[in-house]
Amino acid sequence: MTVTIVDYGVGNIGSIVNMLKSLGKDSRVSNNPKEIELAEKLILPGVGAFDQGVEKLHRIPFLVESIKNKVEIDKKPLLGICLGMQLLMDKSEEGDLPGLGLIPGKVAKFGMKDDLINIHMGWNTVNTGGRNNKLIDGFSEEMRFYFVHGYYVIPKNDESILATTDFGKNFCSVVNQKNLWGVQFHPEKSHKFGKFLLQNFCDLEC
Amino acid sequence: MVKTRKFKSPKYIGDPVNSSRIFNELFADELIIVDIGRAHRKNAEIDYQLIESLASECFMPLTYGGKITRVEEASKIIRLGVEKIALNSAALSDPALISAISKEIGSSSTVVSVDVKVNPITKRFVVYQQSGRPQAHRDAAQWINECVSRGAGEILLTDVSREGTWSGMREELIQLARVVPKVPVIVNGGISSINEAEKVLRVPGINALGIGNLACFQKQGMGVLVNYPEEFQ
Repeated sequence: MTVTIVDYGVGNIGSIVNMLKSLGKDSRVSNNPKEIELAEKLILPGVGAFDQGVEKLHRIPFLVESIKNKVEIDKKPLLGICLGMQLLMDKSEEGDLPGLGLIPGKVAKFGMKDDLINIHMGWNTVNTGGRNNKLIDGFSEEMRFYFVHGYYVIPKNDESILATTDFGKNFCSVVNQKNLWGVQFHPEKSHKFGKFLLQNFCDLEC
Repeated sequence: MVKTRKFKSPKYIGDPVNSSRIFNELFADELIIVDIGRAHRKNAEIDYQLIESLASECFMPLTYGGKITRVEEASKIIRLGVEKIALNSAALSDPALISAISKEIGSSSTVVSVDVKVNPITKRFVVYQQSGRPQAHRDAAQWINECVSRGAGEILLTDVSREGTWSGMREELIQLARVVPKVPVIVNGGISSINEAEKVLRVPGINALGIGNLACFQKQGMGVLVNYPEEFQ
């Protein structure tokens, strides 16, 4: 089983590749729709601004179509990380362009009282509140991950919210809809916790 | 990779990439890498290749510092997968650089590293420039406040006279860190033991600590062992 990491030119994917390697998992980095079509599992990474992410995805001919076919028709698992998670939604307050629209909902800005601290940056805990979660269930300690973002997702359906994190308010940090998964944090920068999550993602049935 | 004492006598510890792998194994929450070698070479280029390998080898967030003097350098480093950059001398020579860089990559990615020493006459902390060699005698508290108002999202505060000495962190350094408004301060310099580290982290307002010797050596006076002190809550 090989995980295909979509490389659409946004963010550094070296850490993801290396973390998977340290788990003994093969991965392939690709922006070729033909290779995406053959993928068994997809990871959609991403760092930076929403519109920039959307534009870069669409810049590669047929890339968006191949991703959508893979998840909607083949129903293969996809994990969106940070901006990659946000791009799964319909739209974002950060930009004007539409997201992939694979998970109903939108992306909102953190409106903190003190304007200086609108970015959630640092380690924080993730609370599943007892919800069943194949991605992070079973870890021996309380799960914590590294976050760096100024916007957060608001899924339309509450059932899609698998875990929340507290930053001023409880926001959705893990989203799941059937074979689609999204994490707001960076597993590849969250050492043992990230490894556990990626291992679980690799173990999901294809 | 080297370890210094009061910013002098660098002692070879190991290869940075290998050492980073070790910190990976030991689950360090964050790593700060500073290229001090560059300060001695006038026009030496930033080693982007090394930074890129470190960024992909580290399974935790990384901060890189070392003769960053231009916005483009900061942007390029961030694009390589590094979470934050640290400024020191360049910020002292041109404080406007802090504003320019934080506008481009964000305040939360802009750290200003402030090295301090106690002025024996006034007893107040003053800033030291060029890796601890005396250059300027700016009031540390004032400089830190200026950095924050110009957009620094974090301050790395190092007591040069305690750094690498195992002689304990100065109480005044901790107090200086506590008065910095709004942004996190990493206090660094002199931590002699895990017990001391624990005590310092319990002080209200202190939420981060830098450890150098404690991570590099087995114990005071002993040889090199790049390691991470056992976990404590």
